[in-house]
Amino acid sequence: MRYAAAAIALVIGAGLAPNALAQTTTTTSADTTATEPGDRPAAGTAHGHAPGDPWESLNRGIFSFNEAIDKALVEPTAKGYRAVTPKFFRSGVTNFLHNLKSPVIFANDVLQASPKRAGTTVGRFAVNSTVGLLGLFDPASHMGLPSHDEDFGQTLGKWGAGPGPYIMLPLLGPSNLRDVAGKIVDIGLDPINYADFKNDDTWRAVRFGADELSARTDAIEAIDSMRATAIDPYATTRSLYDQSRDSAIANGQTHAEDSPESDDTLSQ
Amino acid sequence: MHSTSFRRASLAAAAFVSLAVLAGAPARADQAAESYVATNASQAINALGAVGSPAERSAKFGALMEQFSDMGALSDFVLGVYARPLRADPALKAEWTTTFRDYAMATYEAQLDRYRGSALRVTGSRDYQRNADACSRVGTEMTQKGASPLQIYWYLCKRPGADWKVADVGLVLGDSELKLAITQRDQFVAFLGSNGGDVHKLIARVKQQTASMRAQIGAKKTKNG
Repeated sequence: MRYAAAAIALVIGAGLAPNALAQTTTTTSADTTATEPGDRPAAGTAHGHAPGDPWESLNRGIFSFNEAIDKALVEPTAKGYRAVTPKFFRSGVTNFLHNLKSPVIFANDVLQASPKRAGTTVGRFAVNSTVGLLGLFDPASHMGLPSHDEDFGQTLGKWGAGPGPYIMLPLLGPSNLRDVAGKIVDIGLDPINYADFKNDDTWRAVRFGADELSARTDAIEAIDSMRATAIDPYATTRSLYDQSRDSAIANGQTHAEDSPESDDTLSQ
Repeated sequence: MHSTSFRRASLAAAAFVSLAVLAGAPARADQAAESYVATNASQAINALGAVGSPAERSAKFGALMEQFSDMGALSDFVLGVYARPLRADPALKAEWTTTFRDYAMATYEAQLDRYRGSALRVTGSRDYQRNADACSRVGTEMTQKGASPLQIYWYLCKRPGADWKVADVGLVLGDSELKLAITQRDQFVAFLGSNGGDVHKLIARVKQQTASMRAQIGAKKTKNG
């Protein structure tokens, strides 16, 4: 509970009640119709940073640091992991780790008033923990119980909290104020963090490391592609993070209208 | 190839039957949009694996994607607030449109090349309206042996009397959909914001990136044949 209290204090103490958070929402992904220079200040000229990224200069520095570490250590480790392990092993690890997240996912399904998704999470946990051999396999997905992810950052977003300032975390990558607060709450919601057993701290560290390695391995091609095509990898990473969170909060429902219009409509 | 032809024929037949049953009323936008995507997206992806030199395949793929996409609207959209001032300089606007087209084609090819030879299946669609344009969000799934299927959403719009054009492409990664045009706009606007809105600098930077992508694509194609 102390984690939840800390998260709430962080949000309120920063003067970012939900309405205020919404006003500092990153608009780079959502604002699609502003083609008039007078509609809003051009990004980067009025305040020296993009909307929703007041700490851009610091964030860019941390991004450069993270990229250097990733290219030197993390990416080679992920590629090595993929090279020396068979696919079924890596799938088993991913499934096992995702199954462990079920209590947090369930709690956030409930907090988001999504009884159907909460039921799916319970069903998945029950099936995969038993038939799926402690989560190594995912038979639930083949039984009409699809996988989904939820976290407290999404819960805050579901109930109207805007993302707040964009934050690039050292080693951990992109986030925002809402999601950092959410992560703290999720740590408090995870029953494994309260379990007391021999070498429990080591186990938690291994779990964290395995989670990060698994995610990085799955993202090898996507990140390679981004680095090859982006003219501004920092801005691209920010955009992808914003879009992925907006999409996750909406459970994959996207605003189809946020797309380019034909030339004729633009000129009207 | 056989499955693509069969799917195309089935969709065309379904559209025709729909027209007959509705006694001359136009087919719903999503049915025609699905057919358009099934035909054109498959052709473009098949072009990546066609017989011929890497340059020929790239040229064929680029021609199909340009026909399939609304490059004029896209090149405007990705500049965000910087698009309108550019209209006062037609020569610069034309240069930007050409530069962006080359960049977009290279990006599409780089992203989709590993799916050449894949089967593309339409999974459904949803209509929506954008001012006077009828639009549709068409879902597809690309499957390739040994790899997880890739879900792609195609956003198409159709002006009255004109053909469908792709306005954006969304790739589904995990629980999230990431839109290509939105991502491109966010990075171009960030670049322009840091460079006093100078489109000349953006053009130079984008040309540099396109050349780098083309070199990587060429090296990969030479290696893979």
